[in-house]
Amino acid sequence: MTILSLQHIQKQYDISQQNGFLALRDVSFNVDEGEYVAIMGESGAGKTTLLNIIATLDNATGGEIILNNQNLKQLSEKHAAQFRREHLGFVFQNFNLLDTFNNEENILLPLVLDKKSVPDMKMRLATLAKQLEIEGILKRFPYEISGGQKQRIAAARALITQPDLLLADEPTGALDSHNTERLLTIFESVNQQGQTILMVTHSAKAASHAKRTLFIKDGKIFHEIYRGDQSRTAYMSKINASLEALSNDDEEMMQS
Amino acid sequence: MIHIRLAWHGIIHHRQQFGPFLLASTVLMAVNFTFFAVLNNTGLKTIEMGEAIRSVTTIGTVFTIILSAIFMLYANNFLNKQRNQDLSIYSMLGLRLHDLRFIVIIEQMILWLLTIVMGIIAGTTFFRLSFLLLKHLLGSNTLVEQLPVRAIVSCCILFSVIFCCLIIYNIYQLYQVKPIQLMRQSQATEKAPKNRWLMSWFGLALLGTGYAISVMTKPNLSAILQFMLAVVLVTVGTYILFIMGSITLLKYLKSRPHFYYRPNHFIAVSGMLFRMKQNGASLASICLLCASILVTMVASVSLFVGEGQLIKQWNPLDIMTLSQSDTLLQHEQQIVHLGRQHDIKIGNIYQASMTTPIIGDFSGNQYISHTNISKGVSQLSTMTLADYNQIQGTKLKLKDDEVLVYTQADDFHQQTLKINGHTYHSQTIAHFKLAANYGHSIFKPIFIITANQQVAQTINPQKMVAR
Repeated sequence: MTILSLQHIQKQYDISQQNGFLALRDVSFNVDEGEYVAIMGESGAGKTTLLNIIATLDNATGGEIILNNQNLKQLSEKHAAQFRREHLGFVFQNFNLLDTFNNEENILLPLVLDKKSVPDMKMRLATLAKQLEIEGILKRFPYEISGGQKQRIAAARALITQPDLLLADEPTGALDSHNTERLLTIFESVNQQGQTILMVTHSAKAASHAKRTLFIKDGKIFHEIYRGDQSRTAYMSKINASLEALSNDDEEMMQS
Repeated sequence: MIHIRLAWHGIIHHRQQFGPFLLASTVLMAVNFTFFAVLNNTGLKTIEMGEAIRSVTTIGTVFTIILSAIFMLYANNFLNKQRNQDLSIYSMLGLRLHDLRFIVIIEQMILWLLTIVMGIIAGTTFFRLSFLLLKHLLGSNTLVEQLPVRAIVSCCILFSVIFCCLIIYNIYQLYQVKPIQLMRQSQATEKAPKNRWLMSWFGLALLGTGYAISVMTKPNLSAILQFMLAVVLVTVGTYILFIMGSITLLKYLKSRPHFYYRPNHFIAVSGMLFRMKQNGASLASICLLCASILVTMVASVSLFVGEGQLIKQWNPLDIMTLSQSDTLLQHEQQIVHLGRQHDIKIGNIYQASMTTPIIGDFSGNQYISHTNISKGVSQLSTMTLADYNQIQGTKLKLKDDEVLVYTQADDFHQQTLKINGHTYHSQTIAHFKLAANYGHSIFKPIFIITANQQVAQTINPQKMVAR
């Protein structure tokens, strides 16, 4: 079943001005339930713009975007906030945890805002904490723990609402290789339990954990590859080859 | 209520930011409270020169109100960055704009309440202290310290207005808070300040006007109003100049490559640009407070130094009586009688009749009288030569068109004096035993000694008073 569907999405900044910048020209793709999709591309290719539009934080200037049977264009600010709370989870490069709350409170905050019952909260937290190996640091504050631990707390906060779609923006960008590996393993395992994930990343290693990788360039989908039954290493070299093609294409254009 | 909890939680956990903010607002409230309390004291209205204390205090109040308003807005900016970061995370987690607005309002209301309570406590303490000091300075026992209910009310109203402005400003800021900014940390960094030529010149003009007014104002009754205007202009001008002018200047320096691209200029100018943006307001506040300390110090020192002279000017003799009717003989007898009772030897007794002073001003060799007394600087009285000779023990003679002129500051040296359409040959005298500012007014006394009463009356048609 398709959970996210983008049709000819276009995003233009500064429409009123002459030098309006076209961040997204024409982007169309679907994400099915239970998929794990990575979006790759160079800086300025429009990855983050795309993620913002899917996250209901920004509006497309053209095209249709349907998430969980809801046309995002028709959402008012008020409903968009509610929609985010009920259907989306976020993981950022810079964690965005609240230093004023301890880790447990940070994780539970979305449920508190949603007025869930306390036993329900405790139950969900117990399961997640075990899976993400953060039981020992729940009572500590975000400023007392390492970057890798912070990102696992942030992931727990995103997953505790059991969102229809988990949006991750360069989740491994600020992590060392060990913690990157650990987070990606967690993402893979929650995906195997049925969690749909959409991740924007620079790293071929991170993308190699996904089931499908989309390459975006100059505001368009340039290429897409599926992992299928390949081994991770084989898939990763394919991703690297595609990345190379992406930049070579640029040079060819400049030469011609 | 989740909103109240979130707001309270934010204040408690960001106490490193909120603490100094509350300290600043409390101190500002206490200072304002002290001023309001002095203004509203009924005892001060009845004592001599109480009006003067009140009018000076009014200037101080205007100054502190402006200072408080600007400083609060500035202190609020310190909280905003942290607050906006938190609010955008809330927004990302699914809180609606109106929930965020509610949190901001509750947070401000908590701060407002804390400020009011702590401000009143600190203010009452401050006020008692400063009032004791004032009483000691005045040496007055009639001053009664009151529980200044009206001051509390005025102060609460003032700070409620300030906090209302903060709420409006913060809610306006809320519309700039987009969770989208969280996506890329780089966007959260501070933007380089903008260049504002117009406002800088405007600030400079305000400051210049303020100083021009204060330098050019003559010491008359309306001066206090002009001084107030000058205070307002200088205060606002200083803030604008420090906040925007400094940045305009630095940007100008930056735009000159030959100056800017030098190792020491390069780092200093670019670093200053961001620091001035953050600290312009506090530097301006410090400058203004220093300026007001200087003003107070100079005023106090000159008062202390001039105290003896002032007493001499006001009371050149031990006993002076003034009467509009002819009762001087009675006064004299009474004084002599009292002297005998207390075993005091009465020295010389002088008597003279002179005209009620007319308020006006010298302009060259002409004396212009002002009907609007708030514009005048001097008061002019006339008396006859006969009285003068008797007092001074001289035997001068004057013709009808000749006058003697006495000015306290000895600043009139013209050969002729034009007054009321007549011109007289004038001669300046250096000493005059009865040269008293008997009204204790701010007008400088001028005495004109004429040949006879008729001339005296032509110059000054006011009624003669004896003394």
